[in-house]
Amino acid sequence: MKSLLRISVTAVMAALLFSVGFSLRDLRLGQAPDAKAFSSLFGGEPGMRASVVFRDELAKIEQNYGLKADREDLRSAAFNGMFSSTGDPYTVFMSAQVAESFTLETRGDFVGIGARLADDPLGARIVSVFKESPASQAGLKAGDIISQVDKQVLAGMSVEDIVDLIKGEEGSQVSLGITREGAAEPLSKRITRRTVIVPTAEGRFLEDQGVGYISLSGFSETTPTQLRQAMQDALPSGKGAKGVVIDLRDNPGGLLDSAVEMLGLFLDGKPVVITKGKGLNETYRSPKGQAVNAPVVVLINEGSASASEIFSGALQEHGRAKLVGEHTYGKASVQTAHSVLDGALAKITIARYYLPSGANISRKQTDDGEYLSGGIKPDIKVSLPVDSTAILGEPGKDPQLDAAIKALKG
Amino acid sequence: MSQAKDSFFAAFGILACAAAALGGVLARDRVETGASQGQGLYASRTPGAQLSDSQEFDRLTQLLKAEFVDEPPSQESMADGAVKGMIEALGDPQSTFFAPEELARHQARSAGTFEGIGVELMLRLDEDELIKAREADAEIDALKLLPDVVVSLVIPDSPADKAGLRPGDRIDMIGDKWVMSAGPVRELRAMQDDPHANPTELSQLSRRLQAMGRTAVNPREVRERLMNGRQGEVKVTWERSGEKQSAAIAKTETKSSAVEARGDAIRLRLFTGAAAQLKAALNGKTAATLDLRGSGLGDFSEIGPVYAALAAGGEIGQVGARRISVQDGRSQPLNLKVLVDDTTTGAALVLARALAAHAGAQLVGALPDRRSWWLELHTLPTGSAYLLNHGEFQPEVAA
Repeated sequence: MKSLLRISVTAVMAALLFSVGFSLRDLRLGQAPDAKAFSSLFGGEPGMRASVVFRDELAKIEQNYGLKADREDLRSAAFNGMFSSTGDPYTVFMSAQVAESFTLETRGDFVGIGARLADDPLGARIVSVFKESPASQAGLKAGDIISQVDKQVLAGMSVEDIVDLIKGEEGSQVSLGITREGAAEPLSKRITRRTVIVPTAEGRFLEDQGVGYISLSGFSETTPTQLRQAMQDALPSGKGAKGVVIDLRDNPGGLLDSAVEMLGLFLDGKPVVITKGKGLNETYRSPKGQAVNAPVVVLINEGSASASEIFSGALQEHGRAKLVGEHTYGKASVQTAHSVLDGALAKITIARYYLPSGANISRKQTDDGEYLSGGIKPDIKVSLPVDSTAILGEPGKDPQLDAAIKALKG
Repeated sequence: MSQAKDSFFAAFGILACAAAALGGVLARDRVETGASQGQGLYASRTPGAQLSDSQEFDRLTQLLKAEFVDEPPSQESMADGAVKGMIEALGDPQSTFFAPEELARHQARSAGTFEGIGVELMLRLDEDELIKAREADAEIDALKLLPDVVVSLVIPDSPADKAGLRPGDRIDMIGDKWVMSAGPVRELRAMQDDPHANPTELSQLSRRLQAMGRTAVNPREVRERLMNGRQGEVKVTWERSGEKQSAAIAKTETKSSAVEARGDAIRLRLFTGAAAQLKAALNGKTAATLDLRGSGLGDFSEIGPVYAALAAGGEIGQVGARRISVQDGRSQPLNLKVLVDDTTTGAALVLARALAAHAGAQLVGALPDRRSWWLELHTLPTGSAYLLNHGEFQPEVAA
């Protein structure tokens, strides 16, 4: 009798432990055991699996599609489509090609001419020319439009494709056709490509206004170092600088860690951002012992996103700086990138972030992508009209900058 | 003695439980891999082997499940997302993904019931450029691949019909938003290539385009706005032969029948059920004039039955390597005239070409200088579906 009891107990324990072992991966994620997986043990249908549908339809499309279709393109598109079924625009699958330029953005250097470009119907518009770059040596200016590259007409091309044409091998040459406002004829420039470090922080002292101006265009690995240099350039000793304007307009963000490190120059060991995600609940504090006293005003607009919002939001909440301009974008999430397959990248939103007060600045938008709510509100609101001819960064030609300088001195 | 027996049982018990737990983990492992290989529980996995398509996919879904901040999407959502991604990657205006709600509308349209303002729209682009782009995988002129949104069918007595829209019209604006198209960019390009162009005019045009680009509606959205919904109103601007017109047009539900007698001609639209209606209309006739203008996409599965109502059976053409043949055709011959023009498209275009090639039909008017694409609807276990371009229909049958 006792043996029977013991065997039954053991059998029950074994069955229980089998189930625990079977469900281990679910339990570790904090989820209920997968019933479908269990049923397949007993010969039941495993239920519809997305991977099987994918496999079947990929084969069907390859077999039936009337024009040529590249298998790799289809696979990447399927993986990315699966990621976008999350509804999160920042959770994406990047094929090796796309991943390369993304990594470049956060790394900070490449071989090219050294100019930042934006979309233009005629080709690409130069937004800024990097200091001491091949582009600046060739006399290119912000506002110039590149309309031809090596005889190829660029009208209608995306700026990404144009950048690919301009980048190339170290020491090689590229011919650019330039359209400049006020010039009757298009200009032609022949430029030698060099390794360019993307300057994400550039500072200068505005003599006439008596304040420093720092333009921050990203938050890459090298930005914290560049910022220290920029601060020196913006606040030279003996000039009686009244403070510094930090320009975060159209800065799409970058590395969270860089933003936190950079805040150490203004906030001494203070909580600057809170992240909440799967097994990732943390309050980040700025480093100690590096903070300077200079008064700071920060310029923001709808193009300021992510790390820019962490940076400006922390400064605003701690009363360290006033924000001038227009509300920020409202990207309040953190992504991590995993290397998968051959050079491909899976970028996944792993956490949401909140300002030190706990405020959630997530953006809400219409179906067309227009802003409804979210982002960080400026302390002093200054808008630029849609077809404005302002030259950003030029006192007297930049209403938002002028307001920021006034706020610093007043 | 009993103490030894107790220890034996205890040891056995512990071993059994440990083995059970381990067994559970291994069994789950096999279930997960086995399912993706479509095999049973005991499928083996060769270490270091190349992952199959579905295994790769599963690896990514596992990653997503483990890391994503929210609940992961359902298997159905992910399946739909994957297929939708693939169809959109084809970059082919004829191939479209339909989520279940959209599928219901598509099937209703195929049967002649329309929502919206009462039009069917199609995306038209430079086909030669598309094929070049697919074949060479090289320098694509992005400009030339920007499609125009063109009216392919107007439902009689619909709000669109009353407002004056006609097949062939290009949609220029929705409300005050520009519909992206190649036209204005072509204009800019031409001006830019012109050595005598005025630089001020050039930069003005460039600035205007930039502003338009900021508020543009993409072509697929236009279909949403004009072909979905039964209420409200939308302001539409359209262009015909260089002239533009605007009107505020109401949205409602409109129906059209496949077969309509119009004087001497039969206006034929290849909606689902067209063949049966056509047979009735042709009863006892020895000659007929079919009007296939402004046809819209139609239901491709009606091509065969409609052809059979009009002519003798046999092979009517090829799509790639696949031969298309019609069974149970007419026994009595029919003298056919077919009215066509640039707005004959979709299934009707295939029909027109087949009738001209094999049924001795006389074409009145000129067929469009475009390929007749053969489209088929593929349904998914999720309730979604996609329309896939199977290739060009060639009426010539290889001997």
